[in-house]
Amino acid sequence: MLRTLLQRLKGRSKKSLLDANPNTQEQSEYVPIPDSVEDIKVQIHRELGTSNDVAFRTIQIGRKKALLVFIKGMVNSDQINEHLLRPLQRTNMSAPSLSLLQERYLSAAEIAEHDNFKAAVLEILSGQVLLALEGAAKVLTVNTPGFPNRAVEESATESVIRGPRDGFTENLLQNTALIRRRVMTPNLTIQHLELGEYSRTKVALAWIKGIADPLLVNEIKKRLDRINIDAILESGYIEEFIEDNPRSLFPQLRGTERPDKVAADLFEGRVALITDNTPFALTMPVSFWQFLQANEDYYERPFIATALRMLRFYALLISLFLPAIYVAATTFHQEMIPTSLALSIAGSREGTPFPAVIEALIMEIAFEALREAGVRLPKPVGQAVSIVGALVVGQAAVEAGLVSPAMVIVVAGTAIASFVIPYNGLAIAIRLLRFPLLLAAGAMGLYGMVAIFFVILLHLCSLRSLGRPYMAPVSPIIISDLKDTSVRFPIWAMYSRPWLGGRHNRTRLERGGKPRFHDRRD
Amino acid sequence: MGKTKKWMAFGLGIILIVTGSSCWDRREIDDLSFVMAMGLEQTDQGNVKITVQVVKSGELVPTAPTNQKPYWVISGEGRNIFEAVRNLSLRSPRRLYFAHNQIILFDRKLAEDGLTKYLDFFIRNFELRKTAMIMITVENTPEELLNFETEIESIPAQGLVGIIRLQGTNDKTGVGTLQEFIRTSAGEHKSTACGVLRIVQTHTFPEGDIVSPPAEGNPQAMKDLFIEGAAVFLENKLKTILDGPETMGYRLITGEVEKGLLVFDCPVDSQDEEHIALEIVNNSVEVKGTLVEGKPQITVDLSLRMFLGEIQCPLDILKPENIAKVEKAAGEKAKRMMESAVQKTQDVSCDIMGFGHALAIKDKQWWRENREKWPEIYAAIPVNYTVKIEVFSTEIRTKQRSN
Repeated sequence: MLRTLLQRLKGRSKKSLLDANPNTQEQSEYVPIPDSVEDIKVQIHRELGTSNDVAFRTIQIGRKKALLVFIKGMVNSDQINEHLLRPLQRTNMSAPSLSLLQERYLSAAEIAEHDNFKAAVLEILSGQVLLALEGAAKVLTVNTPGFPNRAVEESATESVIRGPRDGFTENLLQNTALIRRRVMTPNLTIQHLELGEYSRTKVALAWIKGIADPLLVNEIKKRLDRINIDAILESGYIEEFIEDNPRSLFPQLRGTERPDKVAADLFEGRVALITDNTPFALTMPVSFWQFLQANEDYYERPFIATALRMLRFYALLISLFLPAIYVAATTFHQEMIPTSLALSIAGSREGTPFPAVIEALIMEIAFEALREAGVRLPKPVGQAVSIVGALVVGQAAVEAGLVSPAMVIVVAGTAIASFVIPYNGLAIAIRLLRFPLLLAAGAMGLYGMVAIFFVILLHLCSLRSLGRPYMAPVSPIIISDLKDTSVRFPIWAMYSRPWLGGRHNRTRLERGGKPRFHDRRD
Repeated sequence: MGKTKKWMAFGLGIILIVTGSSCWDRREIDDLSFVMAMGLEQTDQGNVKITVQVVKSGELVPTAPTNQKPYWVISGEGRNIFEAVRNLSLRSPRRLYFAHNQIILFDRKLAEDGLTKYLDFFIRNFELRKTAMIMITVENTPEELLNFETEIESIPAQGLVGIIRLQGTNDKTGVGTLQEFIRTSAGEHKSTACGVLRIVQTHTFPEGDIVSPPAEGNPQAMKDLFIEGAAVFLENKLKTILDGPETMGYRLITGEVEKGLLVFDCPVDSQDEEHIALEIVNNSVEVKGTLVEGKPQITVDLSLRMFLGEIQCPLDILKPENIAKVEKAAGEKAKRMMESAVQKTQDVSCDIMGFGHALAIKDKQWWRENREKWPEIYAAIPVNYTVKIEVFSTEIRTKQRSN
């Protein structure tokens, strides 16, 4: 399957990212730099239209005229004053040249030379200052970033008790730096690309040479290469283009706001994709079990991590099955319920007007609506929603006899269980799958429920993430990787990297790392 | 068929499955009335009368206390049980649901006439559980018993179940589920035993050794539900009823005793009536059949490990010879109980203890020859008892009573 996919990709891709320098991908058209400063000004006007946020500043250096072009708000004017304008205006050179200026006067770190006018203009758009000198067949672009940045702060969606507090921001370079801080090996490779014809979103592909599978990196590059879209606003756009089964409910790449998660994935031979303007980085390939793991599992003791993973697993099952089981048991299999429980359920359902399956649907939909309202509404209004929800759904509906108290407990239990699932992408898939299960349980009892569950299971087993089995290491079974699936072995006992990403370089650590007492004589 | 049409057909199929099948086997839990216990008796016309105790589940909601009884007892008659059950549904607004039935009561008269023709319904019906307890009602009809409330449980059947569950602390009741009853009564000896149930006045307990004053006012408070003894069946016909101590003897032989007490007089001379109670902790029993000069004999080897539960007389239990005395007295008591149980079953030729099985293991050939005559042989078979009692703990007190 993967092979045919690869062949298809080969046939379709017109231009390849693999060989070309990613920075020059859209600069096929070569336009020479005009000689006079006025011509340059006119040309830039032609290229950028009549936008008012483009600033031009003409200065005189010796006998030659020079031009600074930048976009207001995207550059740091203090830096321009100090490192460009002041040294340039104070030169006493009579015949300045770009190379001289660059070497002796401009005190900025990032300077690039361009002889293609088009490319230089595009650099202006990404926040660089263009310096053109009369008669020089080249222009300089100087990086003086002045874009307002959010500070590195703790991620709101993935908080921890123990663990690093830094989270990604909307700035790509800041994000790659956060990864570099954790992966200081020279083997860490970060390649920048641009995606989106109009948005020209910068994307960084990161992997560790020697651990990650080069074929995998190639595959990802090929998939990225196929993306032909006007704009990329979030990594979710990319996710939809490069996942293996676009019709699946389940997430096949993992988005995270935490650099330590990305670093951990890199060390396991996975590849990370960081997108500019969003704090969510993607890592791939993933397995289903990763979505039930939290980074804190590795920072706390293995026993509690194992217990928590089991808890999450059971929570997953509960949030998927509880309403369906309740409906199936109370409408089809009353003999399965222990007698006293059956009696109290029957008592609590006394006088309720709807069949159990309809009741469950109403309550589940009401709960989903409340949750959705709580997420989207502004925070002060959100509280009102929770009060209304608690009163209306929890109390009034029961007191009015519309809904049985047992059903409220079932819905509440389902809700709590679904909050336990650590990855939102999986949690929403489970939320959605609950409904077909519920309907099947209402129509055919446990039989229908199990039938739908088998469909889900088959689907999960057929899923691939970047061509690698989604349910690994459980299906196919990889015994050594089970150490880090629903249990978490001590770190010194996990000798090998997971097969999924790190099968080319499996040795993670030497055996015999178990802590021991060192005799004084040693 | 185009792809869109195919998907539409698929979706339509799903919708039809979901909505169209909704009547098939579906029943809301609140449309059922749960039968907790049922009783069978014979009417004067020869019909069978079934009485069921169903739960009024609405009364069980703790937030809406009403003073109504949380259960309802209704009866129906018919030529057989199924017809009687269907006649019941003429009076019940909700479907009677038998899967949670816990107790089946048979009237004594019905049991004496034979249960064989009634058992078919219970075996055949898929909704009824084979784990329901079988009880025989003596002196009262099943209807009276199903209407009788125990003080703690709000649903009488659950009160009954509670008493049955605790019977292991007394070992004075023969308890059997429907399944066990069917299995043993269809077995080699066609004999089985099950519990006996009656309502008694509290001040005239059958044994006469417990006397409590009748309560004033409430006439029902003067009576109590009482489960003691075992009904002995041969070929599904009730033959005799063992009383409490006999039932314990029967259970000692079959090894079913759990935590029963042996209560006997103190082995010291005293004017007062003083007793010792030993509690069974472990028991092991072996029933061996032997043929002595072609004549069958049964040996029952019983060994009990016991706690000294209570001692009323001033006996120095630190002295081993005194413990030996206690053990000896207890052994005699146990032996007496076993003897009386065996005697009573021998009177009606019901081998409920499985002596025939022990002989069949010993000598297959002999058993094949004498299988037909077994009831007569059983009635006169000599039985030897060896009882070994070990009091291995005096619990947390070792001193003798201080006067």
